[in-house]
Amino acid sequence: MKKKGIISTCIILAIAIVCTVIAGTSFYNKRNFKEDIVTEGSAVTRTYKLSTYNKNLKGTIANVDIYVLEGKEPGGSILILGGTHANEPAGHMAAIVMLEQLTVEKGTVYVIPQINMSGLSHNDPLEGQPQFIHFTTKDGSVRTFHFGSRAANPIDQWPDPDIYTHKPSGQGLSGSETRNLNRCYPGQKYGTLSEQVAYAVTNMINTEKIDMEIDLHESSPEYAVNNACVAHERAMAIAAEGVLNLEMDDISMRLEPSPVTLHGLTHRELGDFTDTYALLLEVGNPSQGRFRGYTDEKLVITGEDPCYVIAQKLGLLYVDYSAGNFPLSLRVARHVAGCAAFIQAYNDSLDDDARAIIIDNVPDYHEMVETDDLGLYLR
Amino acid sequence: MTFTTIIYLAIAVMVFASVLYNMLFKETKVVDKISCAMILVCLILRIFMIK
Repeated sequence: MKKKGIISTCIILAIAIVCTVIAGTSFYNKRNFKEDIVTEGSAVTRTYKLSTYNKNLKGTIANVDIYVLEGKEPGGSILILGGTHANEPAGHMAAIVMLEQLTVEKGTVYVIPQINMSGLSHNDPLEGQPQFIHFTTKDGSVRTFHFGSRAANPIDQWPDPDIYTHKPSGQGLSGSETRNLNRCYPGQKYGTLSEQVAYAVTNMINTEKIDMEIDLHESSPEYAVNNACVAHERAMAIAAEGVLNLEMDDISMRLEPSPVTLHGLTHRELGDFTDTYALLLEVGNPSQGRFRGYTDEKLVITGEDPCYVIAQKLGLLYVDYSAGNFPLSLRVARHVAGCAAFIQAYNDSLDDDARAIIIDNVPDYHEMVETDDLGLYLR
Repeated sequence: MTFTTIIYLAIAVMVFASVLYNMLFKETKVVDKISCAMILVCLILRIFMIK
């Protein structure tokens, strides 16, 4: 090798090593970052691990905490799932806000804000989305949370098959959907990591006899199922009353029936394989839509995107984007108000109040929207 | 670590060694060396299972 060749090779190799160290450190820190969820001073009475319902999750990244808020009186129970799709931060943050803020008078509220911890530990390739989002709390401290991927991390679950066959329905989907937790219900005890997580949730609902389950999501503003509640047919009456309750509070929400032939989703399988009332909430998220422009933490939190302003003018959106934004505080407020409204509707459906769930200290929707500062609702 | 993962990592190590060898001793054009370097970055991250 000529001297000139040696020098250029060494320089290129050195740059490659620097790039590897920078990228590797960034990915490693993302993978190993632990969110600080504050239970001190909250109504959380105990926490335990998801592996209680599937021992195979022990020692994996998916063995997340279940936060339990128990009322003074026994009653019904609800499970709130956040972070199923980790690139939909309103679901993740709404679950955290609720577990840190709610108080429970009667019944039990189970919250799993990081149900897809594997998805939270990485980002979707080529999407240019941020790794983390930050909020300043009332006392001035800054709290950091994951912004992740729709799918589980391939480190935890690979290779993807060409065709993902959902068990037990036999439905065929794109291979990458094998890492989509919300296509894996009711789950498999010894399946892929996502299937094992789904199995644990199904088993939890059956074991604890949980009366209602709400899975918190977001969707692209141009996607038809938006600002909506998707309900299993058994939960339809409760969902309809909940939607009316929300409308009375000037919160517009569509009601969608869970498609009978679309398998693997919480609102279908948890309704079919357990006795719970299964609901799923959607709200528009500009930071995951295909029309979006430059994607950063600001877009995630403010929802301001000039491309979506154009899309609104062209009539392509299913959310009201006339304000030129769709902030995270609004999206979280919708989820929190939605959960409260559906709990109220569930209580109204009972013949007696032995299985009622009475919650208090629910952050006010209008106040959350007006202040537009989610940090105020974190401890 | 599953058996499949071990095989995958072994393949990744072999490809890494091959690309590095080519970069150091075969490729003469700078552009080709840069291409090799870009492949090496991804391979190292895969070998260490950092994502």
